[in-house]
Amino acid sequence: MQTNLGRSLGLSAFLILWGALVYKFPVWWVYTLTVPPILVVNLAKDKRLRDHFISLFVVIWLMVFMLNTTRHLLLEPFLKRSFPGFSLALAVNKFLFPPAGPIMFFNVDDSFGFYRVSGIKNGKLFDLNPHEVILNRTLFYDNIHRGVLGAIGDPGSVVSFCRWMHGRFPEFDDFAVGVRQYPALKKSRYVYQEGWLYRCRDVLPPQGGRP
Amino acid sequence: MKLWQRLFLEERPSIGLAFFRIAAAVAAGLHACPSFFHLKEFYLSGAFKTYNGNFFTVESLQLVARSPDWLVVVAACVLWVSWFCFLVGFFTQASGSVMLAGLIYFYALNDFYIGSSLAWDLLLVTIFLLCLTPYPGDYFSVDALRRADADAWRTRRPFFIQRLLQIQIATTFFFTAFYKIYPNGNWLTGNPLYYLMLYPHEGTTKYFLLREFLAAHPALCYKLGIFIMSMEFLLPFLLFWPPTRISAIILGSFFHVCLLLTLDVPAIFFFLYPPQLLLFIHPDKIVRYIERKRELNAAGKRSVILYDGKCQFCRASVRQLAVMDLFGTLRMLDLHSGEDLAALHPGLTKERAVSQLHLLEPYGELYGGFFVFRRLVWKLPMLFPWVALFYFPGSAIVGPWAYRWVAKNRYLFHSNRVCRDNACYIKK
Repeated sequence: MQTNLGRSLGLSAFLILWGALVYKFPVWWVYTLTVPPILVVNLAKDKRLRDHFISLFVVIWLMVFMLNTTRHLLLEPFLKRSFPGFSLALAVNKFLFPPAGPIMFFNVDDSFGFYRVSGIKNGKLFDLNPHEVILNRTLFYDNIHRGVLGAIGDPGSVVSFCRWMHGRFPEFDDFAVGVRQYPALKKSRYVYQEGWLYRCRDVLPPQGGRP
Repeated sequence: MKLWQRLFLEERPSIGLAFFRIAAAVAAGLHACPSFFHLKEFYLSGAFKTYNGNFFTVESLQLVARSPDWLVVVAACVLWVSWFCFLVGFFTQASGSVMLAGLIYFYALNDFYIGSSLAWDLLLVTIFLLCLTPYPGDYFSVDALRRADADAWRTRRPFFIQRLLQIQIATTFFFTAFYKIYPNGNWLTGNPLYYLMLYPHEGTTKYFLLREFLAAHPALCYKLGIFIMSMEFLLPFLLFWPPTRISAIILGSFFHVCLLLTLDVPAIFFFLYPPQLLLFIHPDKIVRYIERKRELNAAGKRSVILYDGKCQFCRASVRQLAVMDLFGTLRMLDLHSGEDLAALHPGLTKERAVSQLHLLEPYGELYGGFFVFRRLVWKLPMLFPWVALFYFPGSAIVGPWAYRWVAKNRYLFHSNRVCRDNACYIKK
């Protein structure tokens, strides 16, 4: 009797806390909808009650898990309209529910490009091995070849990248990030174009930019 | 209603889910844990960081970005510990939840290393499902040993977690294929596989055996691409239809092996998805297979574990061996049961039998102490991962010493502090 009362009180307290949390942070409300039913599933002694809440959880889960994917992949392209009202006030693809977007290799064309990093010392350029720029600690695949260095071309990341490079390679005076582009692999696998994207001394603030 | 009951609510053995827990933990560990050896480079202040604004809200990212370095270090330690506990199934649900929270925390802190990828996001979703209930800790776990339930392998649970994992992988295959043709895919209009074969050294394509052959045959690449896409479309249906299920599991697993061998993509695909495909095998079939093996072993000559039934520690150890003895390969024999020890093995006397645990093989070989466990790691599935440890060079010297120390001080591991020198007696 005491155990049941304690369990019920605990569950009620948790539900009140959960209500307060989603009231304060509305964006979380869909992603925490599964919490109350799963609590009951774990704590309920009555099998029928447990089964009802399992069903509720499954419905919520399938709906939210499939919602963004179905909307993004099927409804919006076919009907050529967005569904803001249908989105249940969701920010696009947050927290647990995987974006429909980053499905790999869905569109591969015959061009390829990658970023290169060079160190500059006494006016001379030194090519840096990308596996030493980002020490590749992945197992069973190569993170560099996977394209992880693509982030250094993002304008929002250049300052932090340059600062980090000065700390990583203190022996160099400066760094330059270039891009190599193979425009038409079908025509030739070996012809590429190269250019410089930015130089760290041009993007870092004049004072205090370097450690 | 009956269909819903059969799909999600019916109670079925959770042994498949328990095995999948190990695969999920291995996939998470292999992907994330190497980065924690160099915290300064990836996660502490001064590291180069990128943030996944698609997965997280801005407020969450800002909150996590304010983490002091000491908190990051503590979080990394907590993650390591919780990951190991989840892997071995120690307080499975709690450790899995803490591990998931840690993985999400570090993902928010810096997604540069882990990287925004469908594989990683789906792994987090998978672990979320595994942490919702304690079902994945029912077997192949320390939790099962703590409960000392010899029938833990046939524990029945509502099937909904396993079913949702099945739906997850099936829809992943389906939408991956769908996206290849619509709305922005070019697998019908272009020749993506051929272009991948032409990538330079810095590209995603590995230098596998047939790469140059495929690069020279664009028509073949196109047909292969159509075949792969068709397979991804068909797989969900083949998996859910019983007559084609096993073929679909083999085909899907083969696909992920090929992916690992040919492209530099996150190895999560290889470590998580083939075990997730195994979740389509009906767990009652697995249990029936185990029961048949147990019946066969019971009918034949089994290895005998000889133990001191008057020693509480020994009795507890034997109970745990019984839990781990999935296929019923062992017969537990109390040396005080009255059976003639000399008839079992000429080298066995009561004094020798009482000194340590013994294993008598059907072909007559007798093992004692540490060497019993060295034999058992080949017989008990839960001990398979420890094979390397028990056969590590030097283990034949260290192992017996460790066994003798534990045997001598076993009261330290037991609630009965009076137990010394085989003098543990159960209170009547």
